[in-house]
Amino acid sequence: MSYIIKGRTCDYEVVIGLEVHCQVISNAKLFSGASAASGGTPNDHVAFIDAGFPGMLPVVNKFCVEQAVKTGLGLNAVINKESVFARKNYFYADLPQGYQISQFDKPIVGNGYLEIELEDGSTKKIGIERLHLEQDAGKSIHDMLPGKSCIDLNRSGVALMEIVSKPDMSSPYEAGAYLTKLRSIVRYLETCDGNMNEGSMRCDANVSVRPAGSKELRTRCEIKNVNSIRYLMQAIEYEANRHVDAYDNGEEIYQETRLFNANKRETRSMRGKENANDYRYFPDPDLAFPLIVTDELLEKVKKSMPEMPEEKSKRFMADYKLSEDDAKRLVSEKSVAEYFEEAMQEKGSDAKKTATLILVELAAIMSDKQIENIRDLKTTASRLGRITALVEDGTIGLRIAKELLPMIEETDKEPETIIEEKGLKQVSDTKEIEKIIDKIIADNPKNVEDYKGGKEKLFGFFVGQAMKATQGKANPGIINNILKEKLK
Amino acid sequence: MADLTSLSIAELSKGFNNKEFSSTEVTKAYIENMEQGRKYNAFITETAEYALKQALESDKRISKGERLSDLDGVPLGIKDLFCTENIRTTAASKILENFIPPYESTVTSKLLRAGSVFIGKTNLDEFAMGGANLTSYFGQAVNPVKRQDGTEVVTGGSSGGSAAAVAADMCAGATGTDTGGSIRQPAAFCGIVGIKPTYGRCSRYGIIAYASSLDQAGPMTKTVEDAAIMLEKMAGFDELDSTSADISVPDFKATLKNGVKGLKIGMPKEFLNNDLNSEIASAWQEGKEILEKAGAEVKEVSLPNMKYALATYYIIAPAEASSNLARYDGVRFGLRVDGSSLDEMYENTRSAGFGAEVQRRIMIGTYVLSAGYYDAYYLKALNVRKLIRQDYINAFKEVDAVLTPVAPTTAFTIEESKTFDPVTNYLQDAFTVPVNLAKLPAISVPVKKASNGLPIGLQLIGRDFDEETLFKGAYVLEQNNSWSRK
Amino acid sequence: MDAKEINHIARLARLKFDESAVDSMAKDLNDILKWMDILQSADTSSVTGIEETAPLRQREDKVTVGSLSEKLMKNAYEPYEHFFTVPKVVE
Repeated sequence: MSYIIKGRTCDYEVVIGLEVHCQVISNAKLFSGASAASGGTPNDHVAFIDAGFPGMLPVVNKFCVEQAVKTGLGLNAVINKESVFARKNYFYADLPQGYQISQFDKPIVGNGYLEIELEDGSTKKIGIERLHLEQDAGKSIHDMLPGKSCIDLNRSGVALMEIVSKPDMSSPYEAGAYLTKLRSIVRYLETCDGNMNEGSMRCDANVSVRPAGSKELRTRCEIKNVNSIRYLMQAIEYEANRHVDAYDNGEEIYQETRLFNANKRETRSMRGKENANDYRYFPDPDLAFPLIVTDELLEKVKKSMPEMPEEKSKRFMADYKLSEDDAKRLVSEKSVAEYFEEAMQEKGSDAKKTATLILVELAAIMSDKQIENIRDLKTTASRLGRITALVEDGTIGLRIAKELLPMIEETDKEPETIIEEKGLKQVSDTKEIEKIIDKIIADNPKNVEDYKGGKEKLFGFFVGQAMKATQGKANPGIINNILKEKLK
Repeated sequence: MADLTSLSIAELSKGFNNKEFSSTEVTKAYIENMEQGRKYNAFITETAEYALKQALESDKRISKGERLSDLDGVPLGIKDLFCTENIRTTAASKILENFIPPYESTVTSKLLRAGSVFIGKTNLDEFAMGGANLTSYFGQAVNPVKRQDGTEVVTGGSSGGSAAAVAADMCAGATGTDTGGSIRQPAAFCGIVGIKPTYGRCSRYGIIAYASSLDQAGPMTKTVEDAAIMLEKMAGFDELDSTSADISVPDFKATLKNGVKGLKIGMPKEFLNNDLNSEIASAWQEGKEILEKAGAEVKEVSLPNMKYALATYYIIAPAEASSNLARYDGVRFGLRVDGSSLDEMYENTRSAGFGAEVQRRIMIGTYVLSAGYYDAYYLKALNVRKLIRQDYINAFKEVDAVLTPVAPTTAFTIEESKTFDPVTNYLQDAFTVPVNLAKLPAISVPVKKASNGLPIGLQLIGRDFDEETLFKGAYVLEQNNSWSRK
Repeated sequence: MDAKEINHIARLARLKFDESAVDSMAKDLNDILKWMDILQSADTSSVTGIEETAPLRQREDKVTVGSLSEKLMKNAYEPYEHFFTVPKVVE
């Protein structure tokens, strides 16, 4: 089961730790009153302090602190009553103060964990080392002017949570599962939107390998800014194999920062940039007092905690009689779980059918059309709920229900309208169906004879013929009953 | 009419109220003095036009009987470390030679709201790093007070331009900042009054930072009463500064003349035992006697950790400065000396933009924070700083204020200063830096003329946010001493 | 501190000194550091914990400043449209 890379000299296992930067959802920046919204005219969401102007001072945003606490609680972590902001000193074009305000030896959140599901369905706890608050940097654009880089500070000073895992993951799959789970948690908590392609969640991976079964920790390399879960897994796989090759060839691995190239699916050294970094952390004298998480604040945040995925899937199983598998898959994305429950608000809707239509049919449409959020579908939760209610009350068959979904996506019409316009209502008129079946029996004497002679499999043939003749609109229950009667 | 520029703020205020003269008249007189006094190099930027406009506004208020405060119509000098909206603010550095802030510091906006008139931006040591106003990119300021033999001496620093401007009647009062003595020492050298309030009393918002945990703004004035009037308007809680204290500002002027009867004053024995300059020692003794005569009880106290204060200061201040000054990188404001790469541009800009002393302190600060040295220097200094503060807290269990000299000597000449190595320079701050490290308030008052004709100042150090006691004590010292400005 | 260390610290601080300046800086810094050695004799064993006990003040999560880009750019060296510019950074 475990992930092993076969080297020439021995088998290797992989040691992975992840550092994930999550942009905090807030109105204003961590230390200024400028908007934290992304986009907009360059350098428009910038207070003077975000541009490092002389004499400007930081004052911490209360809500960002609450968001960090909330995320800490969602990660089953220790909330530190006292934490301290420190300066991380380095020069860079998009770091206007010449330092980043971060937290160093006293972060706001300490040890915690989250649980991931492995390929065999078992679970594994991955330790969280810490979570701290810090400022984001601005953005450098290199291809706008010849010989110059352009600096946009709109993002400068936006609050980030850096979440550092313990080196507890041992395969690309586990790293992917960790990141997926972490994203699901921050989305549930509404502390970060988790959108990796927009950069509001960014991941660095620390990777090393060691002989299988040993406890040593060998030199690790940090892979920077891997901006999707798939790339993360690819990058780790490449990097781990690079280490194994090096050790096999008697070469050394140097501690360094590397960049993943998604096209070539390989990592490369960021030589030059990292040499002799010495960040000279020290407590920020502009924020000299300790950041205190009071008991009141902790209680307030605890009360505001939403239902998390584990609880929700248990409740889905109990309340909606869903299978464990369906329930777990529905809750893995908060937006999907909410969509499901909204659909269930429709009178007469059915949980099992709703779940299946979401997890199979809508999932296929979304992957086909590359739609990320279920809320972007034309098939709203209300429409889906009404469709399953229509199946339940016999107005349409399940097959028609499935066919309705792409039509709604295309036309954005109400399901009832499409059913009406296209005459998709299920035929439940016994006499009409009887007439059709009589004709089928008359047209297929050989099959009737064989069926009566014991080839019971042929029953399906007759059902199929009946459905075909009614273009799928006949009520299958009624077809069954009439056929059984007539073929006795 | 008496020379308007020789009047104190309190006297000016009375005159405005009685319509004896207008703010425009007073401002014009000060502008004339400012222009006559250019030899003192007290101002980096003169703002005569701006001042006259403000004076006119003030006169309108006065005529309508709507004076805003005792400072309404009063011409002030502003240390060129306070950002003033649309008025060049340089920190006396080449790197900010052309910087025009798009915002106003909290302290100067409070002074503007009180109706005061800004006559110019005063000279200082570059980024407030220095004790003689010799490190200014715009040249040194000259002390209006000369030795008896006519020799020119330094103003002290870093608020040397403010001290010179007040001493030479080029403004009625001025703002200063004090990180390790930068208000008190030039006040003493130029024979005026200066107070460094408790850390957190005045907002640091909009003041160009030197060492954030030590910087504090305060007034520099001709009289103790003026300092009380000015501080009251400069001080107060500011939600834009996380280190600003949410404590109400008392009416300092109201209690100023209540005397010192029953007050207990301490004299640290560690300084008594120093091989102190005899004239400074005798001035200190004279101060003690004045206070005793006025009814205070003076006793010895012990501050055993003072011997560590200078080294502690010269680790913490440069460490913070090395980080605070990283923002001067040529990108968004200030000087840029281009280069073929980003790093080359940084190095070209910063090497050309900062003077020698600033570079030296950035180097020390970078070193003491760097890997392998942090614990031995910076962390150690933070811990010793706590010991120093504890010394004062212990002393304040026995006394209400502590009396010490301000500086180990009277003002020196530029030639003398050239013989100082950096360490000798730093020793000048021995009496002042412990107060900043402990975040306490301290006032500097001239008490005596030395045999060379130069003023000697004493400082009273008080409990946290007890500037009131300092004003009372300083007022007694001022009213009963042998020093006279004229 | 020797010349090598001076150059390393200068590099961290983005300053540069020519050879003679390195030597005089080394001398100054060594003198200063030696003078600071007195601190090692201070007994700080009794000092503990975070110095300040007052809680850090916090701000409401409100957007209080709007478009300042024009004011931000006024002091900048050769801005381009709404951007600050620097010599090209090669990544």
